Amino acid sequence: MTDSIQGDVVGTDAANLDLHVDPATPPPAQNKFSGFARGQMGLILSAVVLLLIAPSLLSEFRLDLLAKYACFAMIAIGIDLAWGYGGMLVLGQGVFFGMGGYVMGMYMKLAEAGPGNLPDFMTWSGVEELPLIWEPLKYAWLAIPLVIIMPMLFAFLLGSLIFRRRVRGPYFAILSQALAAAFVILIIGQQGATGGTNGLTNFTNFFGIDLNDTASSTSSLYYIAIIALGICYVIGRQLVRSRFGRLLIASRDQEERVRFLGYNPATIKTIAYAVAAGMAGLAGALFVPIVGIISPALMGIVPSIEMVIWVAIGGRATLWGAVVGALVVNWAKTGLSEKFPSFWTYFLGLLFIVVVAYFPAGLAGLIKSTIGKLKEFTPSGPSKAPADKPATEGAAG
Amino acid sequence: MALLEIRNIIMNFDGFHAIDDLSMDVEEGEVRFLIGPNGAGKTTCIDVISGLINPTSGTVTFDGDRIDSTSEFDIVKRGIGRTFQNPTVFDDLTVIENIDLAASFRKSLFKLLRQRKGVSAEVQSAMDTVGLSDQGDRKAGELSHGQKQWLEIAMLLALDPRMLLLDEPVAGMSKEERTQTGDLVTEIAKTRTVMIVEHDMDFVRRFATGVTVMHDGKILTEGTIDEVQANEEVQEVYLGRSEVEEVA
Repeated sequence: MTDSIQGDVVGTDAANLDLHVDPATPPPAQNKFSGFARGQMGLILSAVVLLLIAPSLLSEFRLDLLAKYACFAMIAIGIDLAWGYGGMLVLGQGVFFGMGGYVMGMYMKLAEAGPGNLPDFMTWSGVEELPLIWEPLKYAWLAIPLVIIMPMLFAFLLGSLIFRRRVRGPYFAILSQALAAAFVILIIGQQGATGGTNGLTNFTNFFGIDLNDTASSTSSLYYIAIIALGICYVIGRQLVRSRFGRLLIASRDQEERVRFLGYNPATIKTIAYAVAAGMAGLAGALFVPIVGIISPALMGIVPSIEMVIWVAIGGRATLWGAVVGALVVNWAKTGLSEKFPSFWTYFLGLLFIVVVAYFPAGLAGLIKSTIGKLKEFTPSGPSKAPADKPATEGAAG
Repeated sequence: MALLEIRNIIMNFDGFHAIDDLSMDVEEGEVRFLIGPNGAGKTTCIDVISGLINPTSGTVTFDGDRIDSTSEFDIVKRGIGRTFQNPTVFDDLTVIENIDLAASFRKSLFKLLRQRKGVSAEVQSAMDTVGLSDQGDRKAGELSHGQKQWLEIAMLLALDPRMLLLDEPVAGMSKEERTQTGDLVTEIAKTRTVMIVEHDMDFVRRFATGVTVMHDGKILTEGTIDEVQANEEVQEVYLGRSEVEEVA
């Protein structure tokens, strides 16, 4: 694993023991190696500012797309926690995205139909009584938490079962993927209760936001998505920087050894998996009002693999890399599919191959090394460079 | 009652008895060396005590509690820590982080969700004891083989166990490193019970107080190093052979 942020602190004055900081945190200002971490903070800050002023820069259509990408970025943060940090190759995150999406979609459908009425698609398929699983979704106070809690609970139960049995590596990946396939079949099979292949669509109202009035709804939904993304990022960052995050990395690299330190790695992995599921659920719930549909095609095996590709391209084990990956890949997907409708999948495939083959640390790794090279040319750089270089190079290995 | 009591352990791997009806007592405060030729079942014995594998039959009792079907992490919580033949540390984490994880295992999950602030006293003292204080911020993956062995011992110290199981702690070390490790073990043994698997007879002669010789999954003899060395059977299967080789 080449995570060169962590390398920055290497070589600091070791005698100064009370100054030791978690390598993932920005070192204190007096630290002469803190330049990179400061650069990273600057990047994140400018990204935040850009995202906040986006509504005044982008057309309604583009803003709507960006809101959708923000939902995808939440999934990517979750996948990065589970896969990048925890080593669990989650190939079925579409399931949790779908759970959040369906819970929200069902609630919106019921709210629009009004008390005592059935959602439109049920009448078309000849359903006369509200299916039992829809009952709790009549209430907003239940539906909103369920969007996150249901995927988390599901992942928690599943994780407890399989991680305790020490299922891991490709076996876990296949299992998680089978889950996506099974879930899609289940949803399609229950036409009357779920809308089948068509999914749920024709939404008009999201908690008072009129979805037909796109001029105002687009920017409201965009801000909601961006705030949710920010929350996911902050939660992810705290998890990663805490001792829990160190344990997650430890479980990824030497699961056996973690047990001999008195921890149960199954618990650590289950929690990370559940958090990833919760983030995907939240993303699904916000995706529904933004895009206006949730259907089995959005959560099956293919979209689930695409989600993992965002993180692989963005850079594993750096949260902002995952966000960048989700945004860039989807932006490229939209742009390329507009210009070359039948070729964009080849571009996506090519991008994936190039990144995996030449930049295993992803776009995040590429950005980091570029910044590192640029710094060598800054005025204050040359005097320190010879002394600093060996330490940083060693750290990269 | 001994701190560790092993009774009639059989470890059957597909018909091969790696350990065959082994019984042993280790008293609190003892430094017990486990020696014997390759394949004698020494490491398997450590694996059984530490919970890595469950014995086919027999019992292991630690401080009055049965631990032969307890999970590894629960055995650690009861106060038994171990190292491995090939040092296994977390390469992507720094030396401090490695030791800090070992020192934090009694913390609640909620506390684990917080960030580490500075270096705790236990971590610092473990680092000082093994002489890695000036390497605290280096990634464990960059350490030399010997330093990784010491880092493992430091992690073990941070666990603060009542009993340490060391599996060939000086394997692959230089002569100087061996002496340092021996002194380290002597120091640690002042306050804890230690069981060491070791091949290096010079090391055993210098630091052992009690020795158990294993051969073919059974205990051949037990005693002080002198008693063991005087035993003809032992000379035949192990010491004798290596001494003949040394002379030759």
